[in-house]
Parts: sequence; C-alpha cells; structure tokens
Amino acid sequence: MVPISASVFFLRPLASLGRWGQWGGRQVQAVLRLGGAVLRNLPHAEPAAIWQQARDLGNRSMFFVVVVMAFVGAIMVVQASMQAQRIVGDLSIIGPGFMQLLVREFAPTIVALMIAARYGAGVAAALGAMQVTEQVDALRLCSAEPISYLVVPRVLGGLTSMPAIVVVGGAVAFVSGGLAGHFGFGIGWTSYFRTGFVVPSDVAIGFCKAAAFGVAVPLVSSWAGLSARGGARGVGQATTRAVIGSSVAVLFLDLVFGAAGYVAQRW
Amino acid sequence: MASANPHMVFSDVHIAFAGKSVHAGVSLQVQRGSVHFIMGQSGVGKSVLIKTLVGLVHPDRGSITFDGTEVVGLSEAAFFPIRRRCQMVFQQATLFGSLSVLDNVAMPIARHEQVSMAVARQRAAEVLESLHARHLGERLPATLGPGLRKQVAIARALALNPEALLYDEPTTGLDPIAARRTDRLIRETSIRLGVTSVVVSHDLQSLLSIGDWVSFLHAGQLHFDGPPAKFFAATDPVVRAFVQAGSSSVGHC
Repeated sequence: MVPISASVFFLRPLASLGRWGQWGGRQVQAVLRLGGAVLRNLPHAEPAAIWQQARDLGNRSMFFVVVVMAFVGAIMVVQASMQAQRIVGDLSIIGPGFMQLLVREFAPTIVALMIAARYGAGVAAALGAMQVTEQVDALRLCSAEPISYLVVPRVLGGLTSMPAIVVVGGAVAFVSGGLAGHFGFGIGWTSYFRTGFVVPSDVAIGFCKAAAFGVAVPLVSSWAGLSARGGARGVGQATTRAVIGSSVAVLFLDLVFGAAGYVAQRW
Repeated sequence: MASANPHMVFSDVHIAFAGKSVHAGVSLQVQRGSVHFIMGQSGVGKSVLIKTLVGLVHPDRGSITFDGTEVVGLSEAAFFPIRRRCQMVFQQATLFGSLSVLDNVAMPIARHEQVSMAVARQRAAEVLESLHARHLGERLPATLGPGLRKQVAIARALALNPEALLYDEPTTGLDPIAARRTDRLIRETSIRLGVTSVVVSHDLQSLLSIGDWVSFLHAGQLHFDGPPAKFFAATDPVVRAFVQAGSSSVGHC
C-alpha cells in the first residue's frame, strides 16, 4: 500500500504540472501566432488609431505611473540608505547606484507591470466585450480585419509610448528618491544627482526592455480579449488572463534581456 | 426548397465544436429572393449554420455554395467579396458604440469599396433615408432603443446593396410592436430590393406574417423543409411540439 500511496503522492502533482505545462505552451503558441498575424498586418496600420492607442497607454496611465513611481523611488532610497548607513556608512553611492538600477531594471519593469494592470486589463475587457457581443464578427463583415483594426494599433501604440512613459516614471522615481534621501538621510544634492554608474549599455538594455514590454503587454492583452467566450463571465476571465499573462511576459522578457545583457557585457 | 437555380445550397454540412456534433449532415437550399426561415430549438445550431455562409464559422465537412460559388475552404481574404454580397444582421445588433449611427452605416461602405469616409457618409445618409431613419444619423447607438438599434443594423447591412441578408434572431428581445416593424422591414427589403433573406428565429408570428419557406433543424439534421402553412399543419411530433409551445405567442396556431 505504501508504494502506491507514495506514487500517487508524487505522480499526481507531476501529472498536474505536465498538464499545466502543456496548457501554458498552447497559450504561448496562440500569443505567438497572434504576433505573427500582427507582423503580417503591419502595412495596414492606421496612424490615427496608433496615436489614439499611444495616448491611451501613455497619457492616461501617466497619473497612476507618476504616483506609484514616486512612492517606489522614495521607499527604495530610504531602504537602501538605511542599509548603507548601517553597513558601510557611506551614502554617496546611493544616487548613482539607484540611477543605474532604475535605467537598467526597475523603471521599465515596474512601469510595465503597472501598465499591464491598467492598460492590459482595459484592452482585454474592451476586446473581450467586442468578442462576446459578436462585434468582432461584425467588423469582419465590414471588411475590417480585426487584427489590423484592433490589435496592430494597440501593439504599435505600446511600442511608441511605453519607452516614453518609462522615462517619465524613472525620472519621477529618481527625483522622489533624491528628496527622500536628502530630507531623511542628509544626502547632498550633488552627491545624489550623479549619473557616473550609468553606461551606454545600461541605457540600451533599458530602452530595449521598454520597447519589448510595450509590444508584449498589448499583444498578450489583445489575445486574452479576443479569446474571451461566454458573456460577462468570459470577459472577466479574459481580463484576469490579460493581467496575469502580461505580467508573466514582462518578467520573462526582463529575465531574458537581463541575461542577454550580462552575457553581452562579459563577451 | 428545391430549385433549378438556388441562391444558397448547403450540402451534407457537418460541424462539431470540441468533439460535440452540432450538425451531422444538414442539406438545404434557399431560393433567390425568398424570405427563408431557419427554425429549431435553442442550441440546435441555427446561427452556426448561417455563419458558415460568410466564413465566421468553418464546417468540418460538406459543401456550401453562394450563387454557385463554393465557400467552404475559402481564405479570410477570399471571403471579402462574398461578405460584400451577403451581409448579416447579428442578434444583438452589434453596432460600434464609439461611432455615430451614420458612421456605423458608412463603415462597411468605406471599407469594402475603399472610398473616403466623406463619400461613405453621403451614401450612408441615403440608406438611412430609405429606411426613414435619417434623423438618427448623429446619435450614438447607446442612445437608441433595441428596435431602433436593429433598424440601424439592418441599414448597415443594406449599405452595400447586398444580394442576400442573414438575420440572426431579428425579433428576439424586441417588444411586439418593434418586432412586427422589424418583420415588415425584412419583407419590404426582400420585395423592394429583391434581397434573399435568411431568418434564424423562434418567432412563429414572424414566420406566419413574412415567411416564404421554413427549414426546421432538430438533433443536427434537417427535420422539416417546406412552406409555413405545411409547417403549422405538420403532424410530426417534434414540429408539432415546437409549434404548440410557441402557439401562445401566435394566438391562433
């Protein structure tokens, strides 16, 4: 009896893991297929629609991004200063170190995760509602290819406005961190506002990440919306899928770019 | 309806979703210029069947021809000319909420005929005028009642002067007055423009007042195919049960 129980104990979770893996693989395949369709439909992109989506992602997320990044910047500098004060006693590296961390890692990633929650959920809800109310089919009857009409403007809008909002979010976090460092720990302005640690490759990696996240979030969210089925419940599930899927995509791409940057620097 | 030159022909159509069979060999013909009802219980696949004609659903097997052209296996791009000639009015009207009524009607003209929105709007205004709905042009769909939304959806479908119109439950969710107005609109469109109308419906009153022919689907098969008078007089237990269940809405069935 013991071996049977043990095998059930170990094999069932493994089997579940396998099924989850297969399911995940199918979802990734579907997103990549949608990405291929977006590439094929790029020539049909309409500038006005791209501009509207860029504004939707960028301008309308601005307040949310600014508020959250201000807190993030202040919290990170306070925590880093506390540690530095306790261990090395030198706070002069806080500013340049934080700047490098923001440019290379935190500004693109944290802003993209916020965009996944705000914009991604909105995209999935809008496209999901269109899907379950047959508006996507109605578009096809009007000779408007849903991918070029609905997805391409969102992806190109994300590609153009994500780097811009990342720059704004990063700048706000850096300034709020400077204020927290100055008034909380007495870090001098000239000591904090230095960019000495930032090298061109940091900027390149940060920009590539922002651009990749700008494509990934709308793409995954559009896929989630267009795969919605079954009324309001389906739209809700699509919204959840969009936020989770976009967030995972952002973190996965972050890891890939981080690893690639590390390898490139060593090489 | 057997005819020498039918407008649409479904032959041995098989459709299954996730392994569950919806149609297991449906064959029927739709006569040119007729108002052809497709009836059956909910979930029998009536809407699915008409969506195959315009490539919104793809059958697993069988043949479907529109005006002699085989549509099974066509690519998305190859369906565009078919959709120009055969439009569809969806159950929930499916107007685009961010566009005015005029732009909703203009959109298929601009897209299909590759003309500017200004030209398309002019044509759309004429279509709305012909349906006595020009005054709705500047309104947003959300400000219209269900009957008017349906009227605008029909106007949008007519904007391209199609040869055929597919109506998915056109009177569902409408009050009796709006439902009968929609029936009259379908009939007038068929007579005035010679449009072939395929109407998916449960509404026996509609069938009685405007139907030329009825195909009744049951258990994935065509169960009855004939004129409405024969349908209402049928002794087949399945048809009889359907007619009797709906008789309260018709009154004298």
